Amino acid sequence: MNGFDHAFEALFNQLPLPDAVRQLLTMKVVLMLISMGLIIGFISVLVLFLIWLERKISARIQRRMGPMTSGPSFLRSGNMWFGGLLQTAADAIKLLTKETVTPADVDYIVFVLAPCIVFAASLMAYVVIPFGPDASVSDLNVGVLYLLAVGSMTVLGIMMAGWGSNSKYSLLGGLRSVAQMISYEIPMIFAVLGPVLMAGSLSLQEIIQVQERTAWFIWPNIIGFVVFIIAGTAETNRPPFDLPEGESELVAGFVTEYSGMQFAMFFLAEFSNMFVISAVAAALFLGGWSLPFGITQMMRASGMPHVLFSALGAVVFLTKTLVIVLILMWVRWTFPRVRVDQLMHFGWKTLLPFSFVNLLIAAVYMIAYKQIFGEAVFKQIFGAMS
Amino acid sequence: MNPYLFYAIAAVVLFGALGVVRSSNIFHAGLSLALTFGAVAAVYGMLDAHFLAVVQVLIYVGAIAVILKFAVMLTQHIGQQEPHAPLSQQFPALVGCLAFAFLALYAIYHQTWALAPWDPAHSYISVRDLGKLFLGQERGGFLFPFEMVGVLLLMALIGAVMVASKEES
Amino acid sequence: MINTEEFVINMGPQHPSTHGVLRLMVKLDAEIVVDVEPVIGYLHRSLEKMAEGRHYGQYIPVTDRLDYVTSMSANYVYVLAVERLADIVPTPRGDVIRVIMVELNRIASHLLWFGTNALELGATTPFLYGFTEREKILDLFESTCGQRLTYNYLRLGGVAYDLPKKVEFKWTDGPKTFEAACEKFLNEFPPVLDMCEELLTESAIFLKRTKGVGVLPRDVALAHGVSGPNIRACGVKYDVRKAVPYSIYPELDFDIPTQEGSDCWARYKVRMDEMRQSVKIVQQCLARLPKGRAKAVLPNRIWIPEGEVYSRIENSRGDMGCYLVSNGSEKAWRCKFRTPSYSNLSVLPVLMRGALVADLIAINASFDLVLPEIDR
Repeated sequence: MNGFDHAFEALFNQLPLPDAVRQLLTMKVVLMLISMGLIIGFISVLVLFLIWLERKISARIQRRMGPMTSGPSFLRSGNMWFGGLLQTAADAIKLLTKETVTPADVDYIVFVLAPCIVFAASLMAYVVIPFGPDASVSDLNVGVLYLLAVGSMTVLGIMMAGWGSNSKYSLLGGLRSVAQMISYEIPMIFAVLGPVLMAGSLSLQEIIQVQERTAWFIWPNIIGFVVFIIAGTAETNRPPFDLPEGESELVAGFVTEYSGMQFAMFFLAEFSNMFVISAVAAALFLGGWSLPFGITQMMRASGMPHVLFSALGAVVFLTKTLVIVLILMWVRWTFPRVRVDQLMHFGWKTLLPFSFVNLLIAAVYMIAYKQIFGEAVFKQIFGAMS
Repeated sequence: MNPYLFYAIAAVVLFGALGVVRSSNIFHAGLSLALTFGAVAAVYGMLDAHFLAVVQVLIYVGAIAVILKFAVMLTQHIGQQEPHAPLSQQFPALVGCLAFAFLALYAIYHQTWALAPWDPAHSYISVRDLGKLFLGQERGGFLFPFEMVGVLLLMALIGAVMVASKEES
Repeated sequence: MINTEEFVINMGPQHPSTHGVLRLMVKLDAEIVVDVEPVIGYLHRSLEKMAEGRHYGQYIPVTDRLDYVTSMSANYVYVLAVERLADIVPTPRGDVIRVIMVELNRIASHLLWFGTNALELGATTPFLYGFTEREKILDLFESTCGQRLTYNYLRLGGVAYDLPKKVEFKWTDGPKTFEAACEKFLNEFPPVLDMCEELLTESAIFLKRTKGVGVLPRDVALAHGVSGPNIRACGVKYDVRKAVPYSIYPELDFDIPTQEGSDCWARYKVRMDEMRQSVKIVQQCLARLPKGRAKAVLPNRIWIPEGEVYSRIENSRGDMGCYLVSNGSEKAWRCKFRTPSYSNLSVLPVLMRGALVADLIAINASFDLVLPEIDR
């Protein structure tokens, strides 16, 4: 029982519906469409919320107030912390109504496709994110690898944006961005290998289930966690690694020539990717939707309805993700930008060796665990790993 | 395996491949190559080789971006279209290609392939099994080729670094 | 083997990080700068010619626009020149008030530089911290002369208005005299400065972006006439306030901070330390503020016999000078300004050759160039 489509199928089978409607609704295609719609709806609200959060956090760090006036009236100017909730919605509507200016000399197909590919890639990542027990769109058996593959699609999209804009600034920005992203993919992969090794599976739900039985994977993999967060920040082009979009240097890098909704696509994709990185970190290192000290197992055994269990799991997961998102935002507004060559040196010469060390530690931990606790306990916790 | 789905994906593969060879702009050719590899990954997915499909996207499509980047950096006038080959060369080329295609298809169809029977219920190979195969030392295991490929990649990496550093100094 | 072509990038005149309308034609080879050609003149307003059309007192507001970030200093260099030429002695109180204002302006200018420097490097937060403090200084200025940026405050023989008796802003906690409000600000400022410094000075990323970047050899700097914090960061302990003292500076006790690194970080550190020294100076001035008139009694228009004079002061950016030639009339015959940013700019191409594009921004930001000074 995995995935939203199964959940919807069960739901539709339980509801009193006329047979023809039920036949239609439980078709695989329709179920997939419904769960996709659910996810896209979630992403839209999520991204709006994240952008508002970013503006508020940055404002408070800078001793300002941030958006204050657009939003429900009971939350307006009096409330410094929650004012301006609907500000992003207002900005999105404004961007939608803006004229999309396409410069004359661009390679039209490439120019228009680039934001589509970047945004599509960031949407595609949500397929494997485990929101709760049995609550992911489709828990692929190669989930972790799928996320990395989607990341490389983003690289392609950015390259297209940089080249298609037919401008020196954009080209420079695009090249820098591609170099940065492919350099930091490797430490990220190795950092992720720690939890994968410990869980014996590439599936995100299974990794979380193993963490449910034992402790969170962050403890043996603390180095990997830090490496993953840093590499993830570099992958999503967020400050302090946002040189490709460096505002003071190349105007806006590879998005210079984009305006209106196309620019919004890149912008939204950046926030969406940030959430994906945080969610993956929470799932791989912080135990995802499970609570420590066996609470989740107690909850599961208590016989509460599965929907409630899933919902609670989703709340836990989103909380952990939010914590990491807050850390990422905090880092953004504290540090200056890292220079391109220093970025490359750091990625290859510092981060990569650390990720190797992390893999070594994880492997040693597993062997030690087996030695100390014996084969039987090991098999019970970590599953069928020989 | 839905035959219509397969034909649709195969059409995309062919379209991409044609785009690669017919495109006069290096960047467009690279993008068509990315499309081709993406569609091939879809074929792998249809054959229940999920790991291979994802790895195909990760490695090939990801590498395409790098190739495009190099193409941009190394080509002075990438925006310009390269001239097509003259007609006197195109016709013999077409004849040669058709002959080769005919030969290949003939060989493929008149061969008796020793295929394992397709069992949809057990067609899925999990990543765990793949891992065990990679590290299997017994007959049918791939440990030796796996390690050899690793050594080969290491040699290539070292060679690339040496070539690059030699140019700078 | 790999032959990438050079291409010319045009930064400015409208660019988020060239301070003002400076145009830099940067010839790049991939990421390395091969050559930089600054193109100036976008802000030329014939300020020097205007001096010949206005009488001496009338010209003071125009000097504000010479360097609008430190317009008190710009006023000062001109007023000093005219006073020397006409043998006018400022009142004691006016003299001290001038120094207070100039030093407060120095702090404000360095705070602005601090914010923009951090902003160029991508750290957006120090900008707002610096500007919060700068707002307090601007509030003080507003209470005195009604202006926040171009003050037109100094006059021949003193200052235009005496210090206000009642100053009240959100940060003063109730109405205070100017002296008390100023004291409050000066007491609260060094800890805030420490907080701002904490964000950057020892930050690993900031150090990597600024240490060893834009190293200015001492002889090159001296040959190009670089002055101000830029030369003090090369280890040359030269400050016009100590070298060619004017006003009450000989009686004040303050240091000239220098650094040895000659890189962007050294320039940054010198300016941060200078702010602390300015706090010291203003505190001493407030302590010894004499009573009396704020401005000497002088006629509105003065006729100065033939003569010439060159006055020098220490601007926030360096050695600012005014060469004034009079011909017996009420208007100057020729007024020429020697502005520090002009000489500082001349050394920039030398510095930038061989640097990376990202360093270009860091170097430009660390030099604290102000275009109105360069273009006049």
